[in-house]
Parts: sequence; structure tokens; C-alpha cells
Amino acid sequence: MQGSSSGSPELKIENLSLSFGGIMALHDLNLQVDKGKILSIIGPNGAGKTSTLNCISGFYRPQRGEVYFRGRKITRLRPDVVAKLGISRTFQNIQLYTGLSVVDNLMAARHFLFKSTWLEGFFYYGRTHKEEVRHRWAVEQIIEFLELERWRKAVVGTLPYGIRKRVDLGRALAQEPDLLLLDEPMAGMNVEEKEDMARFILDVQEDKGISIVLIEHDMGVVMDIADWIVVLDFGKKIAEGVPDAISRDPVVIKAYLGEQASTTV
Amino acid sequence: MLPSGTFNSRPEQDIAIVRTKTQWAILIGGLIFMFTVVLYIPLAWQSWLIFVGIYTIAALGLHVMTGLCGQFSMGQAAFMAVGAYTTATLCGRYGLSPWITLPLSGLTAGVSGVVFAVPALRIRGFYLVMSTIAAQFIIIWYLQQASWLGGTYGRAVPQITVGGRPLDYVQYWWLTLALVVIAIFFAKNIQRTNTGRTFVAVRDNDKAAQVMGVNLFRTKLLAFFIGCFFAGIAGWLWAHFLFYISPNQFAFKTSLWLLGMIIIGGMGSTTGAVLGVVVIRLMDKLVDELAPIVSNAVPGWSTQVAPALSLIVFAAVVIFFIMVEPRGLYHRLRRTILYYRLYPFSYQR
Amino acid sequence: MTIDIILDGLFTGGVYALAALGFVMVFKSSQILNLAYGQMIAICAYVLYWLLTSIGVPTWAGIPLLFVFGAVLGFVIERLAIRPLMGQSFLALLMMTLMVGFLIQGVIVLIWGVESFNLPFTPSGLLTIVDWQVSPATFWSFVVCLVVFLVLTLLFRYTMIGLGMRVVAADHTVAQAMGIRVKRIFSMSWVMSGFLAAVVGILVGMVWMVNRDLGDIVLGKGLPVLIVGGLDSIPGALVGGLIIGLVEPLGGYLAPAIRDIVPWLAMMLILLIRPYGLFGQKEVERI
Repeated sequence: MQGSSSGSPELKIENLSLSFGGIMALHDLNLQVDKGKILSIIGPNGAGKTSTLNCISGFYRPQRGEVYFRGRKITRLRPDVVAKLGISRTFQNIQLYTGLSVVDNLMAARHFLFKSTWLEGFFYYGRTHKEEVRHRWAVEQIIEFLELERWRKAVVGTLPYGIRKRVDLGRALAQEPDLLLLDEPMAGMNVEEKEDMARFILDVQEDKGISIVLIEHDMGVVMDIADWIVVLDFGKKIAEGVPDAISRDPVVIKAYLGEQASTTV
Repeated sequence: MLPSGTFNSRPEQDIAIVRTKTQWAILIGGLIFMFTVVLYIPLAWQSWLIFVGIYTIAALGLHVMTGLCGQFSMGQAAFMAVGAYTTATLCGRYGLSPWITLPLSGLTAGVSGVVFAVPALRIRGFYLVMSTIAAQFIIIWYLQQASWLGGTYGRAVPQITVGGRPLDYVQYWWLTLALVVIAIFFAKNIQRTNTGRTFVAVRDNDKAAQVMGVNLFRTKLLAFFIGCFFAGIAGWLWAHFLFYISPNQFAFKTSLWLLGMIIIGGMGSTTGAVLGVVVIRLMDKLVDELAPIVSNAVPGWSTQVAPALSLIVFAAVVIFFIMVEPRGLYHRLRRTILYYRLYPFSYQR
Repeated sequence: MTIDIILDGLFTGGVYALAALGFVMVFKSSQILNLAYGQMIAICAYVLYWLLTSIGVPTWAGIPLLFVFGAVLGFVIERLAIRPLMGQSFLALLMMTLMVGFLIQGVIVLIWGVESFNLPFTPSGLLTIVDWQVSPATFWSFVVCLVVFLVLTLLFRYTMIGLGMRVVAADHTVAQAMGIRVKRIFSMSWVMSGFLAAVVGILVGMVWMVNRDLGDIVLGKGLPVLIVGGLDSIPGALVGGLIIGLVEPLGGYLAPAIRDIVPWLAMMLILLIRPYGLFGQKEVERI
């Protein structure tokens, strides 16, 4: 992957260090994502995977190091600014608007794509109306893509966990991102749901050419869909490479895959 | 939920405020009724109706701020005062036409709202409540001190004249009704567009909203501005109806009354705001009628039965709603309509 | 501007601090702002007056009775009004406490109307300390305030109950997992708040007039002090109270009319420069 793509990478993290009080969450981390590829970050719990995403999103401010998106430095920018640049993410614990319907959640995600102002919103008819309809059609396409038609009008708070995870993905897609950060999108799902989710993620990559950073614990899924894997342990990168290489790397097996090594490959 | 047989096949239908022919009929019938009923009721009830309209506009402002965006304001009455005093001063002292001061009242109220909101919105938590309480006391205090505004004695307000004649109660009601309809239209439009969705997003989950590109600070400020703008308009109506305003008309108690109205009616719903205002105003009128009777029944009580009873009844009603139906009357109404729509499968709702 | 006035302000600040302390008690353990506190104080003052004048209870018996009344009041409010709403939104609880305050105020106005008075045992005249003269009521209130703060600080720091409260304030779930009866801690913090209301009721009954606006006045001092000191800080309430107590006469000296809203202005200032209050803690959240 390194050196096999043309031009600069979509996302580049250089010497990232993050600490909370006395605890070092990330230690001199270096990684990059090439355009249109899926990078998977794996590692035991507490390795710093979600912290990495939070640094990219702008929720955490690293003490040292930089994050570059398409060559532009985005470290320490506010989360809403980062989102407008074309980076969207899902959350481990699904951050959705539980009082709104699926459609409204997706429409809300398109917030910064709307051009009409609040003043025009008062009077509604005119540009606002046209935009509402246009974005609604776009949202419908996403709903169709993720097979969520049944739950279109359902209030998100009432939906089962697996469906909510899909809505979370839809919400991230509705922002029309160039880079998608997925934080354990398959946690708590059964085999069928995981297969559906994996299929969606691959479709997203192929159809829309979006680059993806995927945090996931299910090794089977990671091995199947990742183009490149980075392994973290205690905030440090201990290995990286293509899935085949990682599954055979003794350092990784020792730190993490351990008992799973016999079942995954 | 739509009536049986009605389907939404295009976004325009889904977004529409009035969807079915029945709803149009009810809307138009209702408007005609509201327009004409005023001609047949006694003066006291005409005045009551006008106050309902005034409070509705202020409550709608609170609905946008607090119901939609979750920014609690306990100072709405103070911003009504700003609007009222703006028009009183500009019309009374500088001779501007009331029609010009109408948007100006809204503007000054909106801006003063923003001034008080800015310090509190940078941090999460309920500091905004404190700030609005401070706004309530500071604004009223200033109005009491400022002699150029009339101080504690207040000041007179020129009447609105159309064709050289001042408006009587009936005509004033038509004016109020027109403004209320416009206010409801604006509020509903805000709700169904991006602005409204963003407000609700900030209310429900501000972390997720940030990740979706929402600038929290600006959004909350906008909600506050709009809410106080409505308050200013309500203040304008108040001033030109009573011909005389003074600071103690806009006390802390009124702000809390407004908050109670949207809680009872249902937060986050325009119809709810209207319902809440009507119910509370009816209740207030009832208490006024009953107070002398209660006072005579129990001789041991003080002479202040009316205000005491008003406090107790209001508190009891709001407590009842918080405990029993926290989502308000509007929610109840929807459930009932759903019952009949789904009959005989009502158990499914 | 004489030292007398400064001292007076300082001592009054003690009463303000106690007014804020009642809020801190409840907020520390349950994250609820008890807006009924002002009225709780007011009704304690009225009840004492009634006990002493209408029923003729002697002062040495009336005051302990009042403490009991305050504690019971706190307990009853928590049980009937707050407990059922556990877990509901912040606004719902806030409105609830506000409405309870209205109920209490309604009862006050119903029974006592526009009467206004001082508590009968209010000392009159002037007390001389070194060279300066202060009102004895204010001075003794200040002394009581210091004692109360000392006792509570010791309680929180060195007793099991205090520890329990601090744990509950930090995390309800963890507290329960450790075998602490969270509900009981809530109850206790409200009882203590009610007890404090009785204490403050006695003090304000001496320092100010007891009338139907008392509840709102106390709220008007207590809330700004609370924000200035920090919502969950006991030392903050004391320091905040003293600061406001001192700044008020200062403001009054510069422009007599400002005196009434000095607390609110101070609060807005703190919101601008140090929003969590002088001693408050910024919350750290995990995403």
C-alpha cells in the first residue's frame, strides 16, 4: 500500500501523542490511509483505537504530532470544522438523535450542505423548499442503499440495536464524506447482521470511492475486507501490513490474536 | 400517522404542514371561527382572547428556544418588556409609526437576548437558566431605575390608529390573530427546515451534532435570538393594547407562567404551545372567579387569597402534568387521534 | 465608606453563603437545583414566628422544633416531589422544584398575606467590636454561619456519611455497586438542606424583614453566590457569599441604585471569566 498509490495519502498521522493526566493513550503514532482504501485499526481494548479517531475528529487535542487530511493540517480543529472538510464518523455507542425518526436523523446530518438561511426558512417557499426536497431525495437514496425503508419513519429510540447501527452508518454517509471513520460498526451484531454490514461497507468503498478507517474486533471481518491493517497495543503501533502478513506476525499473535489465531486464518 | 388511504409518495407531501383535505377544512373553518367569534362574546372575554394571542406569540418563542433547542429561558417576560418599551419609546417620544416599530421591537428583544446568552452558552449545563434569571432581574431593575423610560410608574403608549381611528377590542383581536397566525406559520416552517432540525439535534445530542458540522454556539445563539424576537413582538402587542406599560407587568412570575404553559401544552410542539396558553389562561380566569368564594368560605385566611390561590393552582396543575403526562396535552391529543385512526386495532399504538 | 459598613457587608455575606450552601447540599449529591429552597427558608421563618407568637412556645424550645420542621420538610419534599421523577430530564426536575416553591409561597400568602415582621428575639441596638459598630443580628448570624461551615466541612471530609455523599455525587452507579444506599444519601442531603433552611430562616428572620417576598429575595442572593462559588463546592459557597456580601455595599457606595442587582452582575461576570465558579470543577467527559 505504501508507495503503491499515486499522490499524497488521504489521511496522514505523524508522531501523534496523547495523554490524559498521567496516562499515555497514544505514543508517537504514525499511520496513513490511501484514497479509496480500507485501513483497519485493531488491538486489544484500551490500545488507543478510539482515541485515534477522536484526535482525527477533533474531540481530543493531542499533546504532540499532527494529523493531515489531503495534505492539510487538521489537528486541533473543532469537530464541526473537521466534519465540514469531508470527514465523518460513527460511534461505538451510537450517537443518534433518539427523539427523531430515521429520515430526520439523516436529514439532520446534511446540515452543512444546506445553502438557504434561517431567515429564508421562516418563509419556507422558494429556495428552502427546493433544497428540502432535493436533500430528501438524497437521503432516500441512502435509505435504499442501506435497506432501511421499513424503518424510515420510526423514531430511532425504538429501533433494535443492529438497525440503529445501520442508521448510524447512514448518518455518516449522509454527510457525503471523503473519509469515513467507523468505530466498531459491528459490535454486538449476529453473523447475518455482520455480513450485511460488511457488504454495506464494501459497497460504500466501491460505489462511492470513500476512504475508510475501520476499528473492529471481529478478526474474520477485518481479514476479509481490510486493504491494510495497523495493530495498536498500549498506544503504540506494534505492526502493520496486509491482512495475510498480520495474521502470521508473531508479535501481533502474541499481543492480541493469541487464542484466536487458530480459528481465523 | 396518516389517515387510512393517504400515502406520501413525494417529499413535498411528507413535508407539508397541511396534508389532507380534512385538515384544510378544519384549518379554514377554525380560522373563520376565530375571526368571527369575537363579535359575539362580552368585553371581558374579548380581552381574554387578546391576551391569549399575546401569550401565544411569547410561548411560541419559548417553544423555539426551549422546546426545540433545549435552551431553558426563565426570562421571556423581560424580553417582552424590551419589546414593549421599544415601541412605547419610539412611538411615544419620537413619533414613529407603530407599524415600523413592530419589527424593531422584535429586533431589540432578540439582540438583548443574545447579549445575555453569550456568556452562558460557551459552557454546557444549565448556566443559561441562571443567565436568563439574571436577565429577568437586571432588565426589570433597569426599567425601574431609568427615569427617561418612566421608572417604576411606567409610561403611556400611543394607540394604533387605522384610518385615523384607534382600534377597538374586536379590531385589535383581528390584528392579534393575524400576528399569531404568522407566528405559527414561521414556527412551523422553522421546525420543518434545516434550522429546526439542527435545533433539535443540539437539544438531543450535542456531541453528535458537532460531528455533523453544527456550530453549537452559533446555533444556540440563533435559537435564542428567534425566541426573544417573538417575545419582542408579543411585547409590542401588549404595549399597544394596554396603552400603558410599567416594569412590574413583566415580572419573573410571568416568565415562569410562560414556561409552565409550554410544559403543559407539550414542549417541542407549536400546537402544544397554543394549547398550553389557552388552558393556563382559562385556569387563571377560573381562579379569579373562585377566589372571592373561597375567601369567604374560610374566614381565617388572609386578604390575599386570589394571588395565593393563583400560585397554588398553577403549581398544582404543572406538577400534575410533570408527573402524569410530561409530554403535555398535545401528546395526549395525538394519542387520542391515533386511537380513532387505528380503531379497532388501537392496542397497537 | 466606613469600616462599619464593610463589616456589615461581610457579616451579611455569611447569610448569603448559607443560602447558597443549601443549594450545594442538594446539587452535590443529586445534580438537582432546588429552586424551592428560598421558599423553604421563608416558611421556616414564618413557622417559627407562628410558634413563638401565636402558640407561645418559648424561644429555647421553638428553635429546636423548627430544626425538626425544616428537616421533615426537606424529607417530605424529596420523597413526594423528587423521588418520583428520578431519571427524568433536568428541566422537569427544575420545574418541579420551582412549582414546589410556588406551592409553599402560595400557602404562605394564603395564611399570612402581606404581614411583615422580625422574629421576636431579634436583638436590637448596636454591638461594638473594637472600634466599630455593627448590628448584633448580623454579627451573630455570621458566627453561626462560620460554625455551620466548619461542621459541614468536617462532616464531609472525615465521616462515613460525608464520604458516601461525595461518592454518590461522583457516580451513582458506582456508589450503588459499592453498597452505598444511594436513595438514602439523597434523602439525607435533602434533610440536611431542610435543616439548613431552618437555620437560615432564623437568621434572615433577624437580619431582614420576614414578608412574602423573602423567598424570592433569598433566591436572588443565593443563586448568584452559588454560581460565583461553584455549583458543588462548599468552600466556594462561603467565599462566594463573603465576596458578594462585600461587593454589595461597595456597589451601593458607587451608585446607590445598583446595590440590588450587584449579585446578578457579579454572577454574569463570573460566567464570562470563570464559568464553573471560583471553586467549581470542570467536568471531563468521555466520548
